[in-house]
Amino acid sequence: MTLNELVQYTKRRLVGVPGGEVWADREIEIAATIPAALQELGAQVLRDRHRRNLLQQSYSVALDSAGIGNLLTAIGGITGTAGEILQDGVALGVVRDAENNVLVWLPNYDDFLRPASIAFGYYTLVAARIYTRAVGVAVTPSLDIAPAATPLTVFSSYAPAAVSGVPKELEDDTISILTEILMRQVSPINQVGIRSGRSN
Amino acid sequence: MATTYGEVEREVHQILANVAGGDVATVETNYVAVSSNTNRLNPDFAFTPVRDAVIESIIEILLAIADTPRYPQWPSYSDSSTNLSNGALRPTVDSLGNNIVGVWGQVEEFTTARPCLPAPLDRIRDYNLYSTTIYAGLDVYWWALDAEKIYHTRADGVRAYFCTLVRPVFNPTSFISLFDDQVPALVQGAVAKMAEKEGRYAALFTASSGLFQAHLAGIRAHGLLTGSETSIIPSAK
Repeated sequence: MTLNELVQYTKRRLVGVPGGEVWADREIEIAATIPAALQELGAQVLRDRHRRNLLQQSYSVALDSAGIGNLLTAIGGITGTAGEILQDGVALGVVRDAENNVLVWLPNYDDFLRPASIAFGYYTLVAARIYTRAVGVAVTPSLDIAPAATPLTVFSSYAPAAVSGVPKELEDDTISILTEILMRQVSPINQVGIRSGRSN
Repeated sequence: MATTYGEVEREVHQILANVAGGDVATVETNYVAVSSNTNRLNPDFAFTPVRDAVIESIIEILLAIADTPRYPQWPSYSDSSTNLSNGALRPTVDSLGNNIVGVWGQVEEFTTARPCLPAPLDRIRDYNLYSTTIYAGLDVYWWALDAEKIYHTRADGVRAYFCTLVRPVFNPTSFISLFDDQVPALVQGAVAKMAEKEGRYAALFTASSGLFQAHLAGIRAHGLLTGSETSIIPSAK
Protein backbone atom coordinates (compact mmCIF):
# COMPACT_ATOMS: atom_id res chain seq x y z
CA MET A 1 0.00 0.00 0.00
CA THR A 2 1.37 3.39 -0.96
CA LEU A 3 0.82 6.59 0.95
CA ASN A 4 -1.43 7.82 -1.85
CA GLU A 5 -3.54 4.68 -1.58
CA LEU A 6 -3.81 4.96 2.20
CA VAL A 7 -4.99 8.56 1.84
CA GLN A 8 -7.46 7.49 -0.80
CA TYR A 9 -8.87 4.56 1.21
CA THR A 10 -9.25 6.79 4.25
CA LYS A 11 -10.73 9.72 2.39
CA ARG A 12 -13.34 7.56 0.74
CA ARG A 13 -14.32 6.03 4.07
CA LEU A 14 -14.72 9.47 5.58
CA VAL A 15 -16.50 11.01 2.61
CA GLY A 16 -18.91 8.10 2.48
CA VAL A 17 -20.34 9.00 5.87
CA PRO A 18 -23.05 11.70 6.00
CA GLY A 19 -21.31 14.90 6.99
CA GLY A 20 -17.97 13.55 5.89
CA GLU A 21 -17.96 15.49 2.65
CA VAL A 22 -15.61 18.02 4.21
CA TRP A 23 -12.82 15.48 3.81
CA ALA A 24 -13.11 15.43 0.04
CA ASP A 25 -10.22 17.85 -0.47
CA ARG A 26 -8.40 17.28 2.79
CA GLU A 27 -5.60 15.09 1.51
CA ILE A 28 -2.83 16.94 3.31
CA GLU A 29 -4.71 16.84 6.61
CA ILE A 30 -5.10 13.10 6.21
CA ALA A 31 -1.46 12.68 5.21
CA ALA A 32 -0.28 14.75 8.16
CA THR A 33 -2.07 12.35 10.50
CA ILE A 34 -0.49 9.21 9.08
CA PRO A 35 2.54 9.26 11.44
CA ALA A 36 0.17 9.25 14.41
CA ALA A 37 -1.75 6.35 12.91
CA LEU A 38 1.40 4.34 12.28
CA GLN A 39 2.56 4.95 15.82
CA GLU A 40 -0.81 3.82 17.14
CA LEU A 41 -0.68 0.78 14.88
CA GLY A 42 2.69 -0.17 16.30
CA ALA A 43 1.44 0.23 19.86
CA GLN A 44 -1.68 -1.83 19.20
CA VAL A 45 0.21 -4.65 17.53
CA LEU A 46 2.79 -4.67 20.31
CA ARG A 47 0.01 -5.28 22.81
CA ASP A 48 -1.52 -8.07 20.73
CA ARG A 49 0.42 -11.29 21.30
CA HIS A 50 -1.21 -12.91 18.27
CA ARG A 51 -0.10 -10.23 15.85
CA ARG A 52 3.02 -8.94 17.57
CA ASN A 53 5.27 -10.82 15.18
CA LEU A 54 3.97 -8.80 12.24
CA LEU A 55 5.84 -5.74 13.46
CA GLN A 56 9.03 -7.16 14.87
CA GLN A 57 12.48 -6.98 13.36
CA SER A 58 16.12 -7.27 14.36
CA TYR A 59 18.41 -4.36 15.02
CA SER A 60 22.18 -4.37 15.22
CA VAL A 61 23.19 -2.05 18.03
CA ALA A 62 26.82 -1.06 18.49
CA LEU A 63 27.95 -0.62 22.10
CA ASP A 64 30.46 1.88 23.34
CA SER A 65 33.29 1.03 25.73
CA ALA A 66 30.87 1.26 28.65
CA GLY A 67 28.51 -1.25 27.05
CA ILE A 68 25.88 1.35 26.17
CA GLY A 69 24.08 1.50 22.86
CA ASN A 70 21.63 3.87 21.22
CA LEU A 71 18.40 2.18 20.17
CA LEU A 72 17.02 5.31 18.52
CA THR A 73 19.65 5.25 15.81
CA ALA A 74 19.50 1.49 15.26
CA ILE A 75 18.41 0.54 11.74
CA GLY A 76 15.73 -2.10 11.30
CA GLY A 77 16.68 -5.27 9.47
CA ILE A 78 13.41 -5.31 7.48
CA THR A 79 12.51 -1.69 6.96
CA GLY A 80 16.05 -0.30 6.85
CA THR A 81 14.88 2.70 8.81
CA ALA A 82 16.15 4.15 12.09
CA GLY A 83 13.96 5.51 14.84
CA GLU A 84 11.12 3.01 14.52
CA ILE A 85 11.94 0.79 17.48
CA LEU A 86 9.44 0.70 20.32
CA GLN A 87 11.17 0.66 23.68
CA ASP A 88 8.46 -1.53 25.20
CA GLY A 89 9.03 -3.99 22.41
CA VAL A 90 12.60 -4.73 23.41
CA ALA A 91 11.50 -6.58 26.52
CA LEU A 92 9.02 -8.56 24.44
CA GLY A 93 11.73 -9.59 22.03
CA VAL A 94 15.25 -10.86 22.50
CA VAL A 95 18.60 -9.17 23.15
CA ARG A 96 21.72 -11.10 22.28
CA ASP A 97 25.32 -10.03 22.53
CA ALA A 98 27.91 -10.64 19.85
CA GLU A 99 28.69 -14.04 21.41
CA ASN A 100 25.06 -15.04 21.05
CA ASN A 101 24.35 -14.90 24.78
CA VAL A 102 20.77 -13.97 25.56
CA LEU A 103 20.76 -11.02 27.92
CA VAL A 104 18.18 -10.83 30.68
CA TRP A 105 16.08 -7.69 31.02
CA LEU A 106 16.26 -5.84 34.30
CA PRO A 107 13.43 -3.29 34.27
CA ASN A 108 14.97 -1.15 37.02
CA TYR A 109 18.29 0.54 36.67
CA ASP A 110 19.12 0.00 40.34
CA ASP A 111 18.72 -3.76 39.88
CA PHE A 112 21.15 -3.51 36.98
CA LEU A 113 23.72 -1.97 39.28
CA ARG A 114 23.38 -4.61 41.98
CA PRO A 115 25.11 -7.98 42.27
CA ALA A 116 23.35 -10.72 40.32
CA SER A 117 23.99 -14.23 39.10
CA ILE A 118 26.95 -14.37 36.76
CA ALA A 119 25.20 -17.11 34.81
CA PHE A 120 23.47 -14.43 32.77
CA GLY A 121 24.26 -11.21 31.04
CA TYR A 122 21.84 -8.34 31.60
CA TYR A 123 20.49 -5.25 30.01
CA THR A 124 18.29 -2.36 31.05
CA LEU A 125 16.85 0.66 29.29
CA VAL A 126 17.91 4.01 30.65
CA ALA A 127 17.70 7.46 29.14
CA ALA A 128 16.79 6.17 25.69
CA ARG A 129 19.86 3.93 25.75
CA ILE A 130 20.42 0.23 26.31
CA TYR A 131 22.91 -0.57 29.04
CA THR A 132 24.52 -4.01 29.02
CA ARG A 133 26.32 -6.20 31.46
CA ALA A 134 28.49 -9.10 30.31
CA VAL A 135 27.80 -12.68 31.24
CA GLY A 136 30.22 -14.32 33.66
CA VAL A 137 31.45 -11.16 35.33
CA ALA A 138 30.72 -10.75 39.04
CA VAL A 139 29.55 -7.34 40.09
CA THR A 140 29.87 -6.21 43.66
CA PRO A 141 30.20 -2.49 43.27
CA SER A 142 28.68 -1.20 40.08
CA LEU A 143 32.15 -0.30 38.90
CA ASP A 144 32.68 -4.00 38.26
CA ILE A 145 30.17 -3.97 35.41
CA ALA A 146 31.74 -5.14 32.18
CA PRO A 147 30.12 -4.40 28.85
CA ALA A 148 28.55 -7.13 26.79
CA ALA A 149 30.23 -8.06 23.53
CA THR A 150 29.35 -5.58 20.83
CA PRO A 151 27.32 -5.40 18.68
CA LEU A 152 24.02 -6.46 20.14
CA THR A 153 21.33 -8.07 18.09
CA VAL A 154 18.03 -6.71 19.38
CA PHE A 155 14.81 -8.29 18.19
CA SER A 156 12.06 -5.83 18.97
CA SER A 157 8.69 -4.45 18.02
CA TYR A 158 8.53 -1.29 15.99
CA ALA A 159 6.10 1.24 14.60
CA PRO A 160 6.68 1.58 10.86
CA ALA A 161 7.82 5.03 9.84
CA ALA A 162 6.55 4.64 6.29
CA VAL A 163 3.28 3.35 4.89
CA SER A 164 5.25 1.03 2.64
CA GLY A 165 6.56 -0.66 5.79
CA VAL A 166 3.11 -1.80 6.88
CA PRO A 167 2.62 -5.54 6.30
CA LYS A 168 -0.27 -6.49 4.05
CA GLU A 169 -2.17 -8.07 6.93
CA LEU A 170 -2.17 -4.80 8.82
CA GLU A 171 -3.21 -2.49 6.02
CA ASP A 172 -6.89 -2.50 6.87
CA ASP A 173 -6.07 -1.88 10.53
CA THR A 174 -4.00 1.09 9.48
CA ILE A 175 -6.87 2.53 7.48
CA SER A 176 -9.25 2.04 10.40
CA ILE A 177 -6.89 3.63 12.90
CA LEU A 178 -6.27 6.61 10.64
CA THR A 179 -9.99 7.03 10.05
CA GLU A 180 -10.74 6.91 13.75
CA ILE A 181 -8.08 9.46 14.58
CA LEU A 182 -9.42 11.83 11.96
CA MET A 183 -13.00 11.38 13.13
CA ARG A 184 -11.94 12.28 16.64
CA GLN A 185 -10.63 15.61 15.47
CA VAL A 186 -12.71 18.43 16.84
CA SER A 187 -13.25 21.68 15.03
CA PRO A 188 -12.07 24.87 16.75
CA ILE A 189 -15.63 26.08 17.31
CA ASN A 190 -16.49 22.84 19.06
CA GLN A 191 -13.37 23.10 21.17
CA VAL A 192 -14.62 26.44 22.41
CA GLY A 193 -17.92 24.81 23.24
CA ILE A 194 -16.25 22.02 25.15
CA ARG A 195 -14.18 24.46 27.18
CA SER A 196 -17.25 26.51 27.93
CA GLY A 197 -19.06 23.41 29.07
CA ARG A 198 -16.27 22.46 31.44
CA SER A 199 -16.11 25.90 32.97
CA ASN A 200 -19.81 25.76 33.65
CA MET B 1 -19.29 30.74 -37.86
CA ALA B 2 -21.16 30.37 -41.13
CA THR B 3 -22.64 33.84 -41.08
CA THR B 4 -20.87 36.71 -42.80
CA TYR B 5 -20.37 40.17 -41.41
CA GLY B 6 -22.41 41.45 -44.32
CA GLU B 7 -25.38 39.28 -43.38
CA VAL B 8 -25.28 40.59 -39.83
CA GLU B 9 -24.93 44.15 -41.01
CA ARG B 10 -27.91 43.96 -43.37
CA GLU B 11 -30.10 42.48 -40.64
CA VAL B 12 -29.17 45.41 -38.43
CA HIS B 13 -30.02 47.87 -41.19
CA GLN B 14 -33.30 46.08 -41.79
CA ILE B 15 -34.40 46.44 -38.16
CA LEU B 16 -33.28 50.06 -38.22
CA ALA B 17 -35.47 50.57 -41.30
CA ASN B 18 -32.43 51.75 -43.18
CA VAL B 19 -32.77 49.80 -46.41
CA ALA B 20 -33.60 52.07 -49.31
CA GLY B 21 -36.27 51.23 -51.85
CA GLY B 22 -39.80 52.06 -52.81
CA ASP B 23 -40.87 48.59 -53.83
CA VAL B 24 -40.20 45.02 -52.79
CA ALA B 25 -37.80 44.26 -55.59
CA THR B 26 -35.66 47.29 -54.87
CA VAL B 27 -35.62 46.67 -51.15
CA GLU B 28 -34.71 43.04 -51.77
CA THR B 29 -31.87 44.09 -54.02
CA ASN B 30 -30.60 46.73 -51.62
CA TYR B 31 -30.98 44.43 -48.63
CA VAL B 32 -28.59 41.80 -49.94
CA ALA B 33 -26.15 44.29 -51.42
CA VAL B 34 -23.08 45.51 -49.59
CA SER B 35 -23.99 48.74 -47.82
CA SER B 36 -23.47 51.83 -49.95
CA ASN B 37 -24.67 55.39 -50.17
CA THR B 38 -27.35 54.32 -52.60
CA ASN B 39 -28.88 51.36 -50.80
CA ARG B 40 -29.11 52.83 -47.29
CA LEU B 41 -31.16 55.90 -46.58
CA ASN B 42 -31.09 57.05 -42.92
CA PRO B 43 -28.20 59.35 -41.94
CA ASP B 44 -28.64 58.26 -38.31
CA PHE B 45 -27.22 54.88 -39.29
CA ALA B 46 -24.10 55.34 -41.38
CA PHE B 47 -22.15 52.26 -42.42
CA THR B 48 -19.09 52.51 -40.20
CA PRO B 49 -20.97 53.09 -36.93
CA VAL B 50 -23.19 50.11 -37.69
CA ARG B 51 -20.16 48.00 -38.52
CA ASP B 52 -18.46 49.15 -35.31
CA ALA B 53 -21.61 48.28 -33.40
CA VAL B 54 -21.50 44.79 -34.89
CA ILE B 55 -17.86 44.43 -33.88
CA GLU B 56 -18.50 45.66 -30.33
CA SER B 57 -21.43 43.31 -29.94
CA ILE B 58 -19.35 40.37 -31.13
CA ILE B 59 -16.75 41.30 -28.51
CA GLU B 60 -19.38 41.51 -25.79
CA ILE B 61 -20.67 38.06 -26.64
CA LEU B 62 -17.13 36.65 -26.77
CA LEU B 63 -16.36 38.16 -23.36
CA ALA B 64 -19.51 36.65 -21.90
CA ILE B 65 -18.48 33.27 -23.26
CA ALA B 66 -14.92 33.74 -21.98
CA ASP B 67 -16.32 34.44 -18.51
CA THR B 68 -18.31 31.22 -18.55
CA PRO B 69 -16.19 28.06 -18.81
CA ARG B 70 -19.25 25.85 -18.49
CA TYR B 71 -20.79 27.36 -21.60
CA PRO B 72 -20.69 24.78 -24.40
CA GLN B 73 -18.90 27.10 -26.82
CA TRP B 74 -16.15 28.12 -24.37
CA PRO B 75 -13.66 25.53 -25.71
CA SER B 76 -14.08 26.92 -29.23
CA TYR B 77 -12.34 30.10 -28.13
CA SER B 78 -9.82 28.64 -25.71
CA ASP B 79 -6.10 28.29 -25.97
CA SER B 80 -3.53 26.79 -23.63
CA SER B 81 -0.47 28.18 -21.97
CA THR B 82 3.12 27.08 -22.07
CA ASN B 83 4.51 25.10 -19.14
CA LEU B 84 3.87 27.18 -16.01
CA SER B 85 6.12 26.41 -13.06
CA ASN B 86 5.05 26.99 -9.48
CA GLY B 87 5.17 30.72 -8.82
CA ALA B 88 5.32 31.63 -12.50
CA LEU B 89 3.85 34.92 -13.60
CA ARG B 90 0.33 34.64 -14.92
CA PRO B 91 0.40 34.77 -18.70
CA THR B 92 -1.38 37.75 -20.17
CA VAL B 93 -1.16 36.76 -23.83
CA ASP B 94 -1.22 33.48 -25.69
CA SER B 95 1.52 32.14 -27.94
CA LEU B 96 0.33 34.44 -30.73
CA GLY B 97 0.35 37.52 -28.55
CA ASN B 98 -3.42 37.69 -28.26
CA ASN B 99 -4.82 39.00 -25.01
CA ILE B 100 -6.13 36.49 -22.51
CA VAL B 101 -9.65 37.36 -21.41
CA GLY B 102 -12.28 35.94 -19.11
CA VAL B 103 -12.09 33.20 -16.55
CA TRP B 104 -9.49 30.47 -16.69
CA GLY B 105 -10.76 27.02 -17.52
CA GLN B 106 -9.00 23.85 -16.64
CA VAL B 107 -5.51 23.69 -15.26
CA GLU B 108 -3.76 20.38 -15.81
CA GLU B 109 -0.41 18.82 -15.13
CA PHE B 110 1.74 19.63 -18.14
CA THR B 111 3.20 16.19 -18.77
CA THR B 112 0.24 13.97 -17.95
CA ALA B 113 -2.75 16.28 -18.55
CA ARG B 114 -4.21 15.18 -15.22
CA PRO B 115 -6.62 17.89 -14.10
CA CYS B 116 -5.76 20.03 -11.11
CA LEU B 117 -8.21 21.25 -8.49
CA PRO B 118 -8.54 24.89 -7.48
CA ALA B 119 -7.43 25.14 -3.86
CA PRO B 120 -6.72 27.78 -1.25
CA LEU B 121 -3.24 29.25 -1.53
CA ASP B 122 -2.59 28.36 2.10
CA ARG B 123 -2.92 24.65 1.35
CA ILE B 124 -0.68 24.86 -1.69
CA ARG B 125 1.99 26.74 0.24
CA ASP B 126 1.93 24.21 3.09
CA TYR B 127 2.11 21.27 0.71
CA ASN B 128 5.06 22.75 -1.15
CA LEU B 129 6.88 23.65 2.07
CA TYR B 130 6.73 20.06 3.29
CA SER B 131 6.46 18.10 0.06
CA THR B 132 9.66 16.18 0.80
CA THR B 133 9.00 15.53 4.47
CA ILE B 134 5.46 15.45 5.86
CA TYR B 135 3.84 14.98 2.47
CA ALA B 136 6.52 12.88 0.79
CA GLY B 137 4.79 10.33 -1.38
CA LEU B 138 1.50 12.23 -1.44
CA ASP B 139 0.44 13.44 -4.86
CA VAL B 140 -2.06 16.27 -4.88
CA TYR B 141 -3.13 18.24 -7.93
CA TRP B 142 -3.92 21.77 -6.78
CA TRP B 143 -3.56 25.26 -8.14
CA ALA B 144 -4.38 28.80 -7.14
CA LEU B 145 -4.03 32.23 -8.65
CA ASP B 146 -2.58 35.15 -6.83
CA ALA B 147 -2.80 38.59 -8.35
CA GLU B 148 0.29 38.15 -10.46
CA LYS B 149 1.31 34.54 -10.17
CA ILE B 150 0.04 31.00 -10.37
CA TYR B 151 0.90 28.54 -7.64
CA HIS B 152 0.44 24.80 -7.84
CA THR B 153 1.67 21.50 -6.48
CA ARG B 154 3.02 19.84 -9.61
CA ALA B 155 6.77 19.66 -10.05
CA ASP B 156 6.39 19.04 -13.76
CA GLY B 157 4.52 22.29 -14.24
CA VAL B 158 0.98 22.89 -15.39
CA ARG B 159 -0.86 24.01 -18.48
CA ALA B 160 -3.75 26.46 -18.20
CA TYR B 161 -6.63 26.93 -20.58
CA PHE B 162 -8.18 30.33 -21.21
CA CYS B 163 -9.91 32.32 -23.89
CA THR B 164 -8.15 34.91 -25.98
CA LEU B 165 -9.57 37.81 -27.88
CA VAL B 166 -8.59 39.47 -31.11
CA ARG B 167 -10.69 42.40 -32.24
CA PRO B 168 -12.64 41.23 -35.28
CA VAL B 169 -12.13 43.03 -38.56
CA PHE B 170 -15.27 43.76 -40.52
CA ASN B 171 -15.30 42.20 -43.95
CA PRO B 172 -18.70 41.82 -45.63
CA THR B 173 -17.82 38.47 -47.13
CA SER B 174 -15.93 36.97 -44.21
CA PHE B 175 -17.55 34.77 -41.58
CA ILE B 176 -17.92 36.18 -38.11
CA SER B 177 -16.15 34.38 -35.25
CA LEU B 178 -19.43 33.49 -33.51
CA PHE B 179 -21.58 30.43 -34.03
CA ASP B 180 -24.82 30.92 -35.95
CA ASP B 181 -26.97 30.59 -32.84
CA GLN B 182 -25.43 33.81 -31.56
CA VAL B 183 -26.46 35.83 -34.63
CA PRO B 184 -29.98 36.87 -33.56
CA ALA B 185 -28.63 38.26 -30.29
CA LEU B 186 -25.69 39.82 -32.08
CA VAL B 187 -28.04 41.71 -34.37
CA GLN B 188 -30.06 42.94 -31.42
CA GLY B 189 -26.88 44.04 -29.67
CA ALA B 190 -25.81 46.08 -32.68
CA VAL B 191 -29.26 47.58 -33.00
CA ALA B 192 -29.23 48.57 -29.34
CA LYS B 193 -25.93 50.33 -29.82
CA MET B 194 -27.29 52.28 -32.77
CA ALA B 195 -30.67 53.14 -31.35
CA GLU B 196 -30.63 56.21 -29.15
CA LYS B 197 -31.75 55.65 -25.61
CA GLU B 198 -34.00 58.67 -25.77
CA GLY B 199 -36.09 60.17 -28.51
CA ARG B 200 -37.76 58.30 -31.27
CA TYR B 201 -35.55 55.20 -31.00
CA ALA B 202 -36.07 54.70 -27.27
CA ALA B 203 -38.56 51.88 -27.70
CA LEU B 204 -36.29 50.14 -30.18
CA PHE B 205 -33.36 50.51 -27.81
CA THR B 206 -35.34 49.08 -24.90
CA ALA B 207 -36.49 46.08 -26.89
CA SER B 208 -33.19 45.23 -28.57
CA SER B 209 -31.07 45.96 -25.52
CA GLY B 210 -33.34 43.77 -23.42
CA LEU B 211 -33.01 40.87 -25.83
CA PHE B 212 -29.24 41.28 -26.05
CA GLN B 213 -28.66 41.55 -22.30
CA ALA B 214 -30.93 38.58 -21.69
CA HIS B 215 -28.84 36.57 -24.11
CA LEU B 216 -25.61 37.55 -22.34
CA ALA B 217 -27.19 36.64 -19.01
CA GLY B 218 -28.20 33.31 -20.49
CA ILE B 219 -24.62 32.60 -21.42
CA ARG B 220 -23.31 33.54 -17.99
CA ALA B 221 -26.02 31.47 -16.33
CA HIS B 222 -24.11 28.35 -17.33
CA GLY B 223 -21.73 29.31 -14.58
CA LEU B 224 -18.17 28.68 -13.56
CA LEU B 225 -16.45 25.37 -13.25
CA THR B 226 -16.86 23.75 -9.88
CA GLY B 227 -14.11 22.12 -7.94
CA SER B 228 -15.53 18.68 -8.44
CA GLU B 229 -15.18 18.96 -12.19
CA THR B 230 -11.48 19.58 -12.04
CA SER B 231 -10.51 17.51 -9.05
CA ILE B 232 -8.52 14.35 -9.09
CA ILE B 233 -7.99 12.00 -6.23
CA PRO B 234 -4.50 10.81 -5.39
CA SER B 235 -4.94 7.15 -6.24
CA ALA B 236 -6.84 7.84 -9.41
CA LYS B 237 -3.62 8.33 -11.31
